[in-house]
Formats: sequence, C-alpha cells, structure tokens
Amino acid sequence: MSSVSEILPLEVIDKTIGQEVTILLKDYREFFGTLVGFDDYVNVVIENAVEYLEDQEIKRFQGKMLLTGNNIAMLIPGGKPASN
Amino acid sequence: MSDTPLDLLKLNLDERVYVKLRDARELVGTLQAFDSHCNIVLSDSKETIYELVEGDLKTTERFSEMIFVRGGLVALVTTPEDE
Amino acid sequence: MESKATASGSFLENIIGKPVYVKLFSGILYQGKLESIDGFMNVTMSQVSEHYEAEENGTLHKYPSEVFLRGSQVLYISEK
Repeated sequence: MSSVSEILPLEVIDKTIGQEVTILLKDYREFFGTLVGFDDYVNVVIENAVEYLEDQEIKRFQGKMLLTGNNIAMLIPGGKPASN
Repeated sequence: MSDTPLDLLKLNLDERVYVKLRDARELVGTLQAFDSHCNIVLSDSKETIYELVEGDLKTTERFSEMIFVRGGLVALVTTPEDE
Repeated sequence: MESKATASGSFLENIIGKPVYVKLFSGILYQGKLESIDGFMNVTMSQVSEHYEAEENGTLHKYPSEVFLRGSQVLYISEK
C-alpha cells in the first residue's frame, strides 16, 4: 500500500560521487563540475567547477569548491552544461 | 580549525570598524559589542545608504551616538581605511 | 576535539592559509588568503580584493586589513 520509494535521495547523491553533476541554485545560477562529496546539510564539494549565471558562463575554477547547501534547489547527476 | 573568525571581531572591540550590510548600506563606528549571531553595537557611527533614484546613485548619511545592528543583515566587517 | 570526516569538513581544514575565492549571495566575489573559518562558515581573509561576479569586471575595492565575512551570506568558497 505504501508508495514510499526504496531509493533515498541522499543515496542518489552518494552514487554521483566521482561523476559530473549540475547544481541548480534557487536563482538563475548553476554550477557544473565533478562531485567530490556532500554532507548532511547538502553542502557540496565539487571539483573544476564552471559557474553559470543566467545560462552564461561567468567563471571557471580549478581545484575544489564548497558550495553551501542553503541555496541549492536541484542536483542533476551526469549534468548538462548550459546550452549554447 | 584555527582561531575562530569571531576572534577578529573581539580584537576590534573599542576600535573603529567598517560594516557592510546585505543591502546597499555601510556603517563606520566604534565596536562596543557583538555576539555569535553578529548582532553588533556601534557608538559614534556614520551610516551610508545607497539608493538609485531615477537612474542616479543617491547617497544618504545618518549619524548615531549608539546603534544596534541585527546580525542577519551583516555581510562584512573590517577596519576602516581612513578616518 | 571532534574530527570531521565529512567532505565539507576536510575541504575546510585543508584550505586554511590558501588563496581562495569567496562569493556571497549578492554576487560579490572576494579574493584573498583564507585566515580562518568556523562551523557557521564565518570566514576571515587577508589581502582581499572585491569584485562583482568575476575579476574581469574590475576591482571594486581592496581591503588592506583582515576582513570578516558572515557565514550565512556565503554562496561558495573555492580554491584558487
């Protein structure tokens, strides 16, 4: 009768570690990079991030970045770079 | 983890500080008190408010002997350059 | 002293003293050397320059003294 999914959301994130991911924030900002890890608050650590604002690339990073969970709306495993 | 960031505020007690708020506002005053929420009390302060009025940048200043600033609004704290 | 085994905990431990970018929700980008950080993500930095969104947009300000940035306003902290 219960339709609760057997797959937990945090497991999905866990399985994405090592893969590319797109992170959508609450405003028109997106980050694309390789997922290194996350914590209970869904703060996220990504590597070699690309930052997009309103679908335009504004910055490329090398190394690791800690993105605070506060503003994260969606995580898309595999990810999609912003379309040209 | 090294010294807490709030230690920087502690070092500045009784000193002049520059506080940038979340909206287009800045304050300069003598740091009388603060807490872990970043609630701040400044004495002899000057508040600068930036506004766009019909396409022009307008600056308003307000002076207070004593002002309480709620921590939620605080973005940045540092020592002022010139005074 | 408890040790953090979380990805974010290790990242923060390893980044102290390094050059970083810190962006706040407002879109203002700070570049400088990370001096300290706490559990609320409050941060202090030295040799800080301030830009709008990206360095290419020009330097808004340079702060000669150590700067405290409030954790609740932080969007990201990144290695340089």
